[in-house]
Amino acid sequence: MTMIRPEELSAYLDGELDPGRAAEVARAIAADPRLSESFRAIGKLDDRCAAAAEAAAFLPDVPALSRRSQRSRLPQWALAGAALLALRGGVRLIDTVSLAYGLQAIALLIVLALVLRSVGDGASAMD
Amino acid sequence: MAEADSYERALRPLLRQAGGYARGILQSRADAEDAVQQAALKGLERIAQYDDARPFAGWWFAILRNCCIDMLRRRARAATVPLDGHDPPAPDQPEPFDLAQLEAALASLPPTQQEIVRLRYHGGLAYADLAEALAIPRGTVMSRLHNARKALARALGEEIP
Repeated sequence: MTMIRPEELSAYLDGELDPGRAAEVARAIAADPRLSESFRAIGKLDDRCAAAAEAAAFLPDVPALSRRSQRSRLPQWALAGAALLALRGGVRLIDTVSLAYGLQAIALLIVLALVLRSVGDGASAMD
Repeated sequence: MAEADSYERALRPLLRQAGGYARGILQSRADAEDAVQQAALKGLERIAQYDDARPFAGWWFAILRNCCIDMLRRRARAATVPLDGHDPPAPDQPEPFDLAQLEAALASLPPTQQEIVRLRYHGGLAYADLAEALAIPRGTVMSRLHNARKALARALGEEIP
């Protein structure tokens, strides 16, 4: 018969044994009433502790993380604005109508991509 | 910035457990929020030292644990110099009998056993994270947690045969 160390009952309950050893422990528990009783008692205590932990859990407000999230989005808007201004200035210098429209279209696409990414970040931060 | 973003992503799923863990030690929701806030900032400051081959939850809960211990020490020092009109923080609200009984039984255990039970249940840490948080080998986690469970059952008037 396989020798089972007492702490392996706890580890088995916690799902912390490798599959081979977990199968051996499961067989030993099924075959030995004393091991089975120990395992049941550990399980009962485990349920009680887990319920107490769940009752105590709460989501704390961590303003430092919220502020960082907001700050991390600012450079994208700044970058978008700078891109637009730079392109408009460049277009005046070049004074070529078709090139101006092309560059402005690219700039608008960049802004759109940044806005979509920013909205996506905001949504994931809300999760 | 990338490190800080990764840190935030890894930390967010731990915050609810962290709140319960800190509340269990400090017996005050407001103090628990402060401790989690401090630990979040300290972790961010130290993120460059974090080795991502190690379990993140265990690494961060070790920081939170130290923040809670510091807070308890400050509270103990403040309690030795009582100020008029400044009472020590009272527990948040009366707890249901079973929870109060469990908390009392837990408080009667040696600190190392209390610690591993709180990290396991309130923190929800797996054995690898417990080993990291407590700086002990995984085998020691296994035996210490089992012995703590036996002691807790005994303190509750039950027995694990």
